[in-house]
Amino acid sequence: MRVRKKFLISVASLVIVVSVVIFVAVISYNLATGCSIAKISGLLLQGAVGSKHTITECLVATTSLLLAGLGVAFAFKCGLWNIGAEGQLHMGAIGATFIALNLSAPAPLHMLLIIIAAFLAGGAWAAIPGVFKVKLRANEILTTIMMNFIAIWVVQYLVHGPWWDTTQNVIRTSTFPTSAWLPIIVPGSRLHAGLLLGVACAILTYVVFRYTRLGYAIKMLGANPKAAQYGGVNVPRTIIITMFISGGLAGLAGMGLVCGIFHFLVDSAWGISPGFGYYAIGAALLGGLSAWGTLSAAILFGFLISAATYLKAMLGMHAESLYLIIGLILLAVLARGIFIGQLKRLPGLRGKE
Amino acid sequence: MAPFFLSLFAGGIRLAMPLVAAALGETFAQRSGVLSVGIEGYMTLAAAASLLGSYYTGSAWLGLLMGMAAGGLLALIHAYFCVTRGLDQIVSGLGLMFLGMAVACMVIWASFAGFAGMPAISCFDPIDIPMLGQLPIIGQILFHHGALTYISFLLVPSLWFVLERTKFGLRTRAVGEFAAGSDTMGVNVSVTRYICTVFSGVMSGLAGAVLCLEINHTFFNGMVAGRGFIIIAAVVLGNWSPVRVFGACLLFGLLDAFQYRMQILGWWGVPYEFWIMTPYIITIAALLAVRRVRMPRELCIPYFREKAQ
Repeated sequence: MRVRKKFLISVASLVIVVSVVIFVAVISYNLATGCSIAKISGLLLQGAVGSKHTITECLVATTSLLLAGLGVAFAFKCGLWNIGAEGQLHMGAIGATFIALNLSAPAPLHMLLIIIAAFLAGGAWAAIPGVFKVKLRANEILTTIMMNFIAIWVVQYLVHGPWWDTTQNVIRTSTFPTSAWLPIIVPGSRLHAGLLLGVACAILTYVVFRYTRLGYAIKMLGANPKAAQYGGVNVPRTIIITMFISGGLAGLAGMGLVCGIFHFLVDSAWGISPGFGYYAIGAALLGGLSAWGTLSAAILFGFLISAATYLKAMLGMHAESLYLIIGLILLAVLARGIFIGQLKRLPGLRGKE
Repeated sequence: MAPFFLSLFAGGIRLAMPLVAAALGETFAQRSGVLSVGIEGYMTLAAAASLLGSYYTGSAWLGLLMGMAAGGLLALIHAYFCVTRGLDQIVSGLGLMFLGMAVACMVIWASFAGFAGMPAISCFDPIDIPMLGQLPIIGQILFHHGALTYISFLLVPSLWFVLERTKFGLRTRAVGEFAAGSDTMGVNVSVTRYICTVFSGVMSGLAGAVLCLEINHTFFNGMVAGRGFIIIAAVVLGNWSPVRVFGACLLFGLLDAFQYRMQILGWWGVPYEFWIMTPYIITIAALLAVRRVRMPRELCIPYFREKAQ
C-alpha cells in the first residue's frame, strides 16, 4: 500500500504543479501581449499536440531535458548544487564537434567515439568545480555558474576563430560528415536517436541509484554528509565522480543537439541551446531527482517548453520570456512541499502503511 | 599611458557601482542567515522597472524608487518561502531569478513594441562635484560620476556602521550565527531575517537602477550578465564584512573596465572572447584564493522555535 500511496501523491503533485504553471503562464502571457486567453491556450495546445510535427518537436526538447536533467539529478542527489549543466552541455557539444570534424571512421564507430568524447568533455568541465570544492572548498554553485559563461564564450571563440567555415553564410563550423549524424527515429522529423540514448541513460541511472555502491554512497552523502563520512564513504572521491557523471550526461545532451539536430556548431546568436541546462534543473527537481521521475518530468516539460517556444515564435517574443516557465516550475516545485504536507493529512490517504 | 590609466580607474569605479549596493544588501541577508541567490533576477527586474518608472514619470528618481520596489517585492517572496515556510533557499532563489528575468523581458517587450522602440529616458547624468572635481587625477577618477555612484559610495560607511555598531546590526549578526540563542534573548528571528532579505532586494533594485539609468541608459536582455553571481562571490571574497566586500566590488569593477579596454585594443593578439571570460575566471580564482572563510554559521538554515534543539 505504501508504494501506491507514494505513487498517487507524486502523480497528483506532478499534475497539479504543471497545471498551476500552465495557468499562471497563460495569464502572464495574456497580460503581456494582450492576446486573449483562448488564443494563447489554443496556440500552446497547437504547439504541443497540434500535429505529428509538433509532437516530435516536443520529444526533441525532451531528449535534451532528459539527458541534462539526469545529470542534474545525479549532482543534486549527492547534495551538490551543479547549476552548470548549460556550460557542460556546450562543452559536450565542443567535444562532439572536435571528433566529428577531425576524425573519420565508419558510422557506428565514429558515433561511439563522439559519444565518448562528449561525455568526457562535459564530465571534465564539471569535474573542475568538483575538484575545487574538494580541495579548496570553493562553493560549487558559484563556480559552476561562472563556468557556464566561460563555456559559452569558448564556443564563441571556436566558431569565430579556428573552426569557422568561412564558406557558410552563417558563422558556424563546417557540416559534419554523415557518419557523425545521429540516426532519425521518426522519418520526416527531427527526432533523433538521442532520445533512445536518454532513455538508456535513465535506466542506467536507475540501476546505479538502486543497486550499486556508488549510488548508495551518493544518496547517503546527499542525505547526511557527516554520517556518510563516518560510514566509510570516500567523500572527496564520490563528489568528483558524481560531478563527472553529472557533467558527462549534460555533455551528451550537447552532443545530441549538434549531432542530432544541427550537424554543426554555431554562433550563439543562433545558439545550439536556448537554456536547456537551466530547464534541466526544473526537470530534475520536478521529477524528485529520481530516474523515472526525471524521465516523466522531461516528457511533460518537453511538451511545455516546446509549446511555449511555439507560442513565443508566433507572438514574436524573446527567448527570455521562456524563463517564465522554468521560474514558475521551480517555485511550484518548492510550494509543492507545503502542499504535500497538506495532502498527507487527508484522511483517505492516511495510515495504511 | 596616463590617460589610459585615468580612464581605466574612472571606468573601474563606474562598473563597480552596480555591484556595490547589491553586494552590501546581500551581506546583510547572508549575515542574518538567508542566502539570496536570485540577485541576478532582482537586478534585471529592477532595471526594467526603473526604466518604466523613469519613462512614465519623467523623473529618474521615481524610476529609481520603482526599481527598488521591484527588487524588494521579489525578495519579499523569497523571504516568505525561506523564512516563513523554511523551504530550500537555493531553489527559491533560482526560481525567482528566472521569474525576474522573464517578467522584465515581457514587460519591456509589451511596453515598447518588442524592444523596437526603446525610448530615451531621463537618466542620472554625471555630476561634477564643485571643488573636488577640479582636483588633478583624483577629481577625474572619483568626482565625475552620476548621483547613484555617490549614493553607493556613501552606503559603504553607513551600512558598515549599521551592521557593526548598532543594536539592529548586532541582532542581525546574532540571528545568522545562532538563531535559537537569539530567540532566547528575545530577538525576533523571523522579523530580522525578513528585514534583511527584503533590504537585500531593495539594494539589488538600486544596483539594477544604476545599471539601467546610469550606465546603459536603456534596457536589453542579458544586461546583468552574471553580475548577480559575481556579487555573491564578492561577498565571499570580502568575508561578509561591508568594507571588504566594497573592496572586492572595486576589484571586480576594475577588472571589468580593464577587460573592456583589452577587447577593443586587442592586446597581445588575445582574441576578444577571452577578455570577456576574464571576470568569470577571476571570480573563480578569487573564490579559490579565499582561505579563511568566516561564513555566518546558520546561513541557509531555517529557524522554527518548535524544532530548535
